[in-house]
Amino acid sequence: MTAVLDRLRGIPGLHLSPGDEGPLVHGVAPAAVAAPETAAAAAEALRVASAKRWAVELDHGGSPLRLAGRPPERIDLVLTSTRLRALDDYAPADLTASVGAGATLGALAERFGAHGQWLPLDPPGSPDTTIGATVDAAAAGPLRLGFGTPRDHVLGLEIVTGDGRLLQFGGRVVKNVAGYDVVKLVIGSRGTLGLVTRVNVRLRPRPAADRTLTIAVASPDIAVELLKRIRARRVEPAALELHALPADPPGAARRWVVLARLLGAAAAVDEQARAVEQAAAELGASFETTADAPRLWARLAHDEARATVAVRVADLPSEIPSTLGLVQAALPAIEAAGGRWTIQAHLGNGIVRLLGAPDTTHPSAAAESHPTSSPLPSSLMRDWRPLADAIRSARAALAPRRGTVVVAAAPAPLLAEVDPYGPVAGHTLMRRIKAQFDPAGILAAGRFAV
Amino acid sequence: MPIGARTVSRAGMQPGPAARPLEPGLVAALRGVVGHDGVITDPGRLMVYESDGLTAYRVRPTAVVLPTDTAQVAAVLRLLTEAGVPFVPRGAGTGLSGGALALEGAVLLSLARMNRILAIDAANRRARVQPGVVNAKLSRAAAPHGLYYAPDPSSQAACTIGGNVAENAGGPHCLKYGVTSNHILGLTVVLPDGEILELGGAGETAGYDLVGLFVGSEGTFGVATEIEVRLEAAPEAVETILALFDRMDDASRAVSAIIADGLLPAALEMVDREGIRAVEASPYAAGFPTDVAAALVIEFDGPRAGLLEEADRAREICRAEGAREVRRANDEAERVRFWNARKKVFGAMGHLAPDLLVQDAVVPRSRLPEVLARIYEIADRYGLLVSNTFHAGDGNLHPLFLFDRRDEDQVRRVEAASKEVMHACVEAGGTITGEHGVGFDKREYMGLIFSDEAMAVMCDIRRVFDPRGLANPAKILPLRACREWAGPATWIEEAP
Ligand SMILES: Cc1cc2nc3c(=O)[nH]c(=O)nc-3n(C[C@H](O)[C@H](O)[C@H](O)COP(=O)(O)OP(=O)(O)OC[C@H]3O[C@@H](n4cnc5c(N)ncnc54)[C@H](O)[C@@H]3O)c2cc1C
Repeated sequence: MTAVLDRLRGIPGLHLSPGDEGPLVHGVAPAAVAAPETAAAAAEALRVASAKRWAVELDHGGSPLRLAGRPPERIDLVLTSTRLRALDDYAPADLTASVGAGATLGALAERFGAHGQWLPLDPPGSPDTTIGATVDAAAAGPLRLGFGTPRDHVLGLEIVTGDGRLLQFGGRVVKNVAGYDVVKLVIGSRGTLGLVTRVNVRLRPRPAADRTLTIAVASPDIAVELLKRIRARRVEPAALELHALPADPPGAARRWVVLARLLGAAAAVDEQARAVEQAAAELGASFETTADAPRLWARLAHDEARATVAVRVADLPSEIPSTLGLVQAALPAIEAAGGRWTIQAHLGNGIVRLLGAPDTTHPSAAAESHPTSSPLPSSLMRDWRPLADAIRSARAALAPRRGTVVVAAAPAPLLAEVDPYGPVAGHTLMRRIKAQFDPAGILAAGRFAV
Repeated sequence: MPIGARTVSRAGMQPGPAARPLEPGLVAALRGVVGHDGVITDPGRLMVYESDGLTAYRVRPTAVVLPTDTAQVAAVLRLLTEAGVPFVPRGAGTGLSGGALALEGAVLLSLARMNRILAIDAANRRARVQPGVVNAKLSRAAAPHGLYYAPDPSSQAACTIGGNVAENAGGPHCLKYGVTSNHILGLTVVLPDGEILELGGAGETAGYDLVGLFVGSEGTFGVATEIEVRLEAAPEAVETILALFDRMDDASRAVSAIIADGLLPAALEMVDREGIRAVEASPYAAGFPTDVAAALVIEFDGPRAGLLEEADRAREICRAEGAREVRRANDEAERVRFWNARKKVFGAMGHLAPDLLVQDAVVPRSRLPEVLARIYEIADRYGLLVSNTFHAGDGNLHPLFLFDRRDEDQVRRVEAASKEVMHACVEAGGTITGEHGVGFDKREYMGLIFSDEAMAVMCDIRRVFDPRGLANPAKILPLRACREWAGPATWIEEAP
């Protein structure tokens, strides 16, 4: 091992640090962390790692790896894009930019904002999360309703494969059908194909007006009815979220709020807001313009990224009441087993998230309330089976319609009880594709769906 | 046998050498699956399947098979794979890159009979269709629900959703709404060995985005037999502008200025002088001045409030860039006239020369003025007439060369000029195709934008889907790119 470390140390532009300074993946520390300053250095590092069959995790900063995927058996090396942060290649007149994978969405927003442009992506953890992590996980937040997910924004990328080939796919132009769309293949591949080192994105003009309405609704059914009525008035919100606030006092009924984000020309947003308010009033729901909405959206994104357990249940948007019904029905048993749970839904996309955090009022959790200096919050629940059972039965219920239940983050004890992904169509093809990018099988082996 | 200028040539007057007919036993087995009239082998009837929209290339398929559903496609592909016979999917045959050419003795798998809209789910804004559904028909069927299918290739009255998926087709309104790939939610795919896969669907896919990878694979991964698409809500209001310019340069600067100003039109299209003249000489003449150098058709859509202001800003920009005249469509009839000036160019040009060659490339939008100037310069130098009518807002150029293929020298000049145009676009930071695909025509340009290693990865991916090399052979990747690829027989099964 030291011989290999010496070889890595000899690579120009590769910063090597001891593993205990690196990110913990399910509490497992790597032997070493390597931060390349150039894609070439990343390529050389992966060539060495492949030759030595090192177990490698690819990281883009922040904490996305902390509880993602199945726990690794061991990690020899974490290769991180955090030093690949260049934002130098920005063409405002073309509304495109080519940026290093380690650049944070916040830093990009500042740079693009100065030209009245933006990259409308608000994944969990934004604005502190990086573009690399966002692409890696195909992560998207509430704005997916109006603008889609990373696959709709990325024009091209540069990737270093598991065996150290440095490749470019896609380009800088907004339309491109030359060859296979390897860009789409890489987006969401979770570092199983290679380290994304650079991302080319398409930008949009930043809308003049941006308003969020908060609407208190009596039930998810009312929320769905609200969506229908909003659309009947030809309003297309950029985001439409449904959140269940924790019961207060405990044991009381949960309260539900809809957050509707309206973007566009000032006159259009005024008119749309009026239409949404009318629809809410018809349904007897109270509403208000959200003060300091940017802070609210950032806090929600932050909280979601910090969740100890994140389960995503997805089906057709029209099925939201029944999808939420599945989650709500399982909740009493889950709550009885420990943890503090919130429910959030991308109302217009049919995606429900069940988020769990340690119940800090419970004495055993207090010791684990420092999430970065983990010990892992594996004692979030006294018993993980009710949650595992709920996941299995939701999967069975959704299978006929090809809805999905994915565990996006969870500590090991849950993953011992239930598969995080469930059946994956085309799995054999995916495995063969991975073998082409990572012939030595060193990248996140067995951790993710492929 | 490797494909080269000997089998099909650009001049293409002679069809390729007659391929060996299918074994009678295989024909009978195929008829057992799709019925007697579902297999065409009569040479006379095969003639219409010799080429796609790029008529310079012609190859007669050994047979055409017309399945009606996924199960039939799977059964047909199993039979062909067992016999080692390659196949080429075909939609409407409007492709412009020779993608549906039946090379290497391939059987054409026509999806013309798979033309049913299976479901329109208005509440979820989705539709499920068979691949042979014609693009415009889907939008018509969705209209009563206040919805439409956004990608609108100019060929939408004829081309199919399956062909759109295979080419990742674009269209005028893709500037705001994105290309085909942004609208495909799920696919039923039959792999070359007959395996049926359901990709995408209602939920969030774990694992790789195989839907995204399949879109744009030009029939080389297998056949899309059912397609689930996203529908968009019809916009509340539309504003359409026609801006006329005396200098091409001013028009292309106006395009860049509109984009740079932060406006996002639904469509931003350019027609040059030759285009306008052609349309004005056709039944779609609308009385537009034929002495202008270029016209822009600019459309905004969305909520009515604020829309007129956006359109007015675009009008001001056009004037500031030197537009002679800027008109606003006052009603739907006028809007259609503006659009005819754009959409009917290709057809109208057909009357001006025996042959047309339309190219397809993309450049960064800020580079349009210089690249357009370069294209006219190249055409001049080769003594050719070129017209540029294209998706300007996306920087997606479509230089259209007029020629007569009986004149070998002209053919040679068109080819040379085309090649220079490709190089110019790539040098400007662009790409070799924005929507028509690589097909057979552009394989040798792939090396301009991809390294050998990147192309080798594409070969590897292709082999994952099609280990025996039977799906649409000799397309997309240049021969030298795939190390082991010297024809179907020598394809390597799978890496150990
Ligand atoms: C006048 C004119 C204007 C055009 N304008 C545009 C435009 O604005 N934008 C644009 O993008 N294109 C345009 N095109 C090109 C063409 O119409 C598109 O490429 C279209 O998507 C082709 O569809 P098709 O059904 O005709 O497919 P075909 O030409 O039959 O086939 C195209 C390719 O798709 C494959 N294929 C077809 N069906 C399937 C399937 N079900 N599964 C797998 N593979 C399949 C074929 O093997 C072939 O490689 C235009 C063409 C013309 C003639």
